[in-house]
Amino acid sequence: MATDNASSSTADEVAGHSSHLIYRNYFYAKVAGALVALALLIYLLYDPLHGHSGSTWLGYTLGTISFGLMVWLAWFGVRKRQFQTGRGSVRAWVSAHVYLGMALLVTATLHSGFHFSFNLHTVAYVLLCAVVVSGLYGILVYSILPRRITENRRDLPPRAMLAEIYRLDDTALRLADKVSPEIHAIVSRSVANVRIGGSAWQQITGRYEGRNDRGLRVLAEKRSDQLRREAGKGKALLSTQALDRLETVVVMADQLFESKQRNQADEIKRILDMLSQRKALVERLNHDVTLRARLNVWLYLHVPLTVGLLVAVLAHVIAVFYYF
Amino acid sequence: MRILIRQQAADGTWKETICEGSRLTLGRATQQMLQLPGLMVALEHAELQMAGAGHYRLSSKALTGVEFEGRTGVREAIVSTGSEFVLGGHQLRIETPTPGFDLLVVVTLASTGQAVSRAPARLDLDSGGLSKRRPALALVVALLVLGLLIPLVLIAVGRPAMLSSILPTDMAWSSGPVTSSHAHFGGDCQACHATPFRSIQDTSCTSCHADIKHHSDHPGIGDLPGFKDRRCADCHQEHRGEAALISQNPALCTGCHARPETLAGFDGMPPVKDFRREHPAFRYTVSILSADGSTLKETRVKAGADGKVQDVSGSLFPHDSHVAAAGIKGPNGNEKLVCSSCHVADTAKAGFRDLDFQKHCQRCHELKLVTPERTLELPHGQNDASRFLVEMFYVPSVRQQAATAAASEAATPDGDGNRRRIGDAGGNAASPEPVSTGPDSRTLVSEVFEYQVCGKCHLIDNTGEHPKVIPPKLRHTWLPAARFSHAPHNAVPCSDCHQVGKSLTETDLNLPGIETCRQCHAGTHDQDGVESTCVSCHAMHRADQQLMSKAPDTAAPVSASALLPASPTTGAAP
Repeated sequence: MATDNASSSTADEVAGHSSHLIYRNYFYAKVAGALVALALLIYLLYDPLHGHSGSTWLGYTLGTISFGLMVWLAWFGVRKRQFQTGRGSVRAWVSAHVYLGMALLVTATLHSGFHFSFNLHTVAYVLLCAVVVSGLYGILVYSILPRRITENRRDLPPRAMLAEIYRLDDTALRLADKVSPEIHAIVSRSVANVRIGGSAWQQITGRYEGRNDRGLRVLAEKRSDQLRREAGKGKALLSTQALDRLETVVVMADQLFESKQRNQADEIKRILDMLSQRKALVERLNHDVTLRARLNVWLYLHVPLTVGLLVAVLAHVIAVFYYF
Repeated sequence: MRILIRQQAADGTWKETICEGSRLTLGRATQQMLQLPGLMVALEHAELQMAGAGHYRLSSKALTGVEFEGRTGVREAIVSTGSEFVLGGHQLRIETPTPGFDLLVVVTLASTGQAVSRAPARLDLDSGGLSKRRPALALVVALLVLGLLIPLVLIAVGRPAMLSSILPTDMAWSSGPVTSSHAHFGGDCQACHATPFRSIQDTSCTSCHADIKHHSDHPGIGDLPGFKDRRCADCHQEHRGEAALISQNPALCTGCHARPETLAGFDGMPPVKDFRREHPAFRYTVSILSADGSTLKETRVKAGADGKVQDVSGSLFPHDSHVAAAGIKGPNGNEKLVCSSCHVADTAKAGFRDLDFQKHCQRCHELKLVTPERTLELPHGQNDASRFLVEMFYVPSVRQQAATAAASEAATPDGDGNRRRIGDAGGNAASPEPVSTGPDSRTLVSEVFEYQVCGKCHLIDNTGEHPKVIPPKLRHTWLPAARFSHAPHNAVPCSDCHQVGKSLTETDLNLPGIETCRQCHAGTHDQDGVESTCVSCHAMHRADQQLMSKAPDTAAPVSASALLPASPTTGAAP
């Protein structure tokens, strides 16, 4: 792994890539750290008459700072789509977004004075925590998964993988059509049953309905049964365990077909090759889908919760001043 | 059956084909009655047969079957008019056959371009069914409606009970529960938050707490920073527990009282920071005799150098003899008196019931005047009645005795042989002494009041026409600016704080000084004693000041000097 890291960091340097977390020598980490330290220091030194709460001068200050931070953090969603007009590099924005987002959790907690109850204000706080925690998940996966995606793709982007899968399907079907209706039926069922991608849950769990290799197994089973009968040896030429190990099946089936049906051996062998290539490609593509799903799923929490949070904070401010 | 097939061609035109047979065969092979293109269609893919009025049996020989009612790989199904199925990517719909036909099939071919038609692959979470906008919108609507709109509407319609129990109310805006003393109206936020977007005004509090008093009626107090433009809610905060509503925090007090030199008009006050570390010695409100000796006046004094305080209460009661260890002579012999023999706790055990002469003293101190004719018992506490009795019965008796004694003395030869006759005054013939009739009534009454009876225990006012007992001032408290209850001290022996055994004079006020209290009571945040803050003993809103709901009475200013400590020995104000 160390070698991997070394080589990948060299690759990073070559590509000019550096993590947003270390952007400018952790500049925004220092800014956020200073903000947190200052807030903590004042919070500990200031001893208000009735204890800390949102309605002391410190509470109001921290509340205003937190609200401003929240709005600016949410604005990142706008900035990252401003390709022409945006000011400041997006990398800087991301770095600042991450660190100041973490600082927001501290300032908002100190603003509350640790007063929590079953009310609208605590709902806003819980939404904030959910936003920050989902963001932390995002940081985590962004530091792990992109590399795995790149390694999995091996320079073949998903659309190209899909096109190749479809091409293999078409070719296998055409060939199967020429061999026999039975082979064609099996191959077309295999094509129909392949599961590429799926629902959100399937994408995240990585469990797709795995019927795309069944056609291959059925094919091998049929042929081995047929040949067993014809050979009359009464001994199973392929054990159940071997059948499960598809690579063996491919080799064995290949041998069997050659011995029995030489005139169709080439087509069948090509069909088998295509099906196994397709199977591998489908697995790679599905793995890519899974990794990308896990890379992005947190955004489906982070963004809606942020919108909800902004509204909740607005309601919080209105409610607080309504019953001032 | 007669079968009509309608098929839409690539250019959009409809083509109709009529055929007959016991079944409709579908597939890619040319001999199929309904030929469908595409490699996902098997040569002989499926068949449709009559299965009753409007129903047909669909059976598929192909392993891929058809897609019917959301399921793929269907090999057998009963389809009826109006239903649809997908075969090899092509859409087939069974419709009501036109007259003369038994089956009408409408075919929409899949768009070509590929040998295989496929549903678009779902390769990302958006196509997988997740969305950011819908949940965001739902959350926004939920928060606005449940968090703001419904509570506002309920406020506007007066929070009907039924709706308030199932819908979110403005209680969702409460930052914390109200204290239990306010809980009976705690659900009605407007009870205190009378005006939206306006802080709670004092009228909300004084509508119930109408009799709350000022801290001080001094007119200068309103200009001090701690009091200027202050509302009740500045010091009394709800929704944060009992401790915030009635704060024990000494900072509320020491903010001014720690540095009185900075407060204009109050610079004579002693500084106070903490009960243990910096608190002035107690100043006792006691009585002193007026200059003319006729009444008692009130003053405040500190303890003297010997730690003692004198209170001229008008009652001359020596504790040392009464509670002597050896006992005291009572009507039935020697008696041992204890504190509770006279000092009986009141119902709340905070203080003591009034001392009562009949109950506590008369058993031994009978106020009797004995004459040969009778024994007079003077009524306690009634100057005029007592004087009357003395004048009526005692004075004549004494004078009579005196006259009798004088007469017998006259009859008895004295040193120089002179004889006296009854009624004659003593003396020789040359200078006869006047006959003594005894002391006069006034003198006798004075003697009774000042020496014989009343004056043994009381101060007598001689300035008027007749001698009178000065009504004693027996206080319930000598520290009226403090709140002290004996109830939490009931486990402590009386003598721990009240050194009556060492009380040698009748005007000793046997109250403890601050050092006695400090034996147990510590300051704020101290762990080695009873933690005592300012409000442990002092009230912020003082009962003797004016109502907070009224402005201070500036027509009768209280001078600052009245608040200053009096001189310790004379008790006179400086």
